Amino acid sequence: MKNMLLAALLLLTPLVARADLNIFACEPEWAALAQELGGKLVKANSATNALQDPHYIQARPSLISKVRNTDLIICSGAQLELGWLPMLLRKANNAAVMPGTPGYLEASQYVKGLDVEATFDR
Amino acid sequence: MRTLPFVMLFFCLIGTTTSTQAQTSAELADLRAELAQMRADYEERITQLEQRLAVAEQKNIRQPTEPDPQTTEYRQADNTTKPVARAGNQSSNPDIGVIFQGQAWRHSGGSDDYLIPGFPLAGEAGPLPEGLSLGEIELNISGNVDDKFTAWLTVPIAVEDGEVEVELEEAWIETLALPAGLSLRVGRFFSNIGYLNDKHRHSWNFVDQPLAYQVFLGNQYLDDGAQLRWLAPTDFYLELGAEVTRGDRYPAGGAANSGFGTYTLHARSGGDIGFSHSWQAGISYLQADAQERASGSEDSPLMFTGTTRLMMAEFVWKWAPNGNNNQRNFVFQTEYLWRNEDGFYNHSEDPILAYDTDQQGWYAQAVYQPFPRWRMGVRYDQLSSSDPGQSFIGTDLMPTERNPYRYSIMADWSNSEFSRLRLQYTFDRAGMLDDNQWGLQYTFSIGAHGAHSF
Repeated sequence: MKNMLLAALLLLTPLVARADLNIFACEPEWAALAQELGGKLVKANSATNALQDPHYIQARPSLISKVRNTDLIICSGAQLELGWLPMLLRKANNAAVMPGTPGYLEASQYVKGLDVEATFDR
Repeated sequence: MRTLPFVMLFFCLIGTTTSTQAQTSAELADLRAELAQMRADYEERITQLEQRLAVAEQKNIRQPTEPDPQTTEYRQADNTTKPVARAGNQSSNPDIGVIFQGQAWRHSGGSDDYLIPGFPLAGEAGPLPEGLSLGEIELNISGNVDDKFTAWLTVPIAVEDGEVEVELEEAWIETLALPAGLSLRVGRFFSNIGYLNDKHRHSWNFVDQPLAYQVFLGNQYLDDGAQLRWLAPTDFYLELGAEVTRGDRYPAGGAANSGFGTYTLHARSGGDIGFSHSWQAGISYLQADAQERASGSEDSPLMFTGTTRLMMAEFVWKWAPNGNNNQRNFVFQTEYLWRNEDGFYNHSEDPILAYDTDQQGWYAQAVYQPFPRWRMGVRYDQLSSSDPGQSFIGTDLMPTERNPYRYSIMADWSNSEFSRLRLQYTFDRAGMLDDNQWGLQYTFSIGAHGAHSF
């Protein structure tokens, strides 16, 4: 009986022993920064890679499930991810990372933009 | 006694002069020492200052933007007055966007009285009108109600038979903060069944919907109701959903069962294969009770009362080198629809006819973008039906021997994600006559433009 309990515990360990904080970064730069700062306490994944144009990304099913299971979103903002991040958030049903919650971080909200036009045309 | 102060003054003076003389040399030495001390002090202070400057300069290199009082204030304000949840766009509330569509379209056979024998046509089903015409002008208004709810409104403005018609396509409220991966939507919405059903007209890859969507869903099934979606907390994508709708629109009708007549279910999964490939697959089911549902011509419609069951299977595969969709990409999609309708038809003059028929439809399409801005695509779609019985001979519900089918090719050019010109040719062997259809369609968008789904 004891052995069985031990075996069950061992089997379950990989499911339980996961990183404390799952971070979903929109670009690899934010993933690298978050991993550097968080060390072993966080697991940062980037939604895009350096070979992609982060403005034109499909709201893929794999990204939706990543947003569903994340604790913190770190993105550039300033409408860079406008074409896909809102769709991921709408489909992922994760209340903890909606804009306005502590789980949602847009870097552009915390720096002073340079050469920002008051009005713009396409 | 008056002399006393003078005497005292005298002694004082003598005392000072003598002491000055005696102290001069000592004082000079003191002063020199003091000066030297001061110089040393200043030198020390200067070196200290220089060190501090060096440190400050190093800090500056590491952190080029000194915290600006304005930004700091903004950040503090932000933390205290939590900004209302907005999906990335903070330009205005609500977001307003308008999509313009129109076309020049030709038929070799003529578009009037289009019908597909054996398949009731209702809603917006059917080919595009001939000649120069305006498509739907789609007005989209959306925004967050507060941190827990978001709202969406789509009002298409269309010209039908010379009259301007304002419709209500979508008007829904959705939750943003339900726990456990749930979300609830209430209002009027495009049902989440199938792959194409909830796609807005401007994001279609061809000017029209596949035949199966036209005959089984009236182009797209939308209705008033509630939708619950649940996303599994797993690494792979799994979404389950259910909807209850009023049942007032094709393929339902007449708001049967006191307006709770129709329900749908769907399950969807998907994933990536490497960086370049991604896929999505799903199945959906719709069951509706129809009460005197009208289809066919408006003057003498066919009325159906009974139960309609629709099963749908979808598969989409997308390829883009390294996932860089903007440069080059390829999309293959296919759907299979199966429907059973069990009930009876009545026609104004004819007697009531019992009807129990199985029908199928499917399409497959491929769209390729060889380089930015240009795309080309092909689509094949087909329908088939079982025999409804002897009593339907001579009616529009009697299918022909030959299964209805079409094939289409298209090429489009997009100057940006907000503009598109499309050329399409369709060979239609679904209607009464073989029909060659071709034309040019434009789609332009101003204002806010929401993100598209996969």
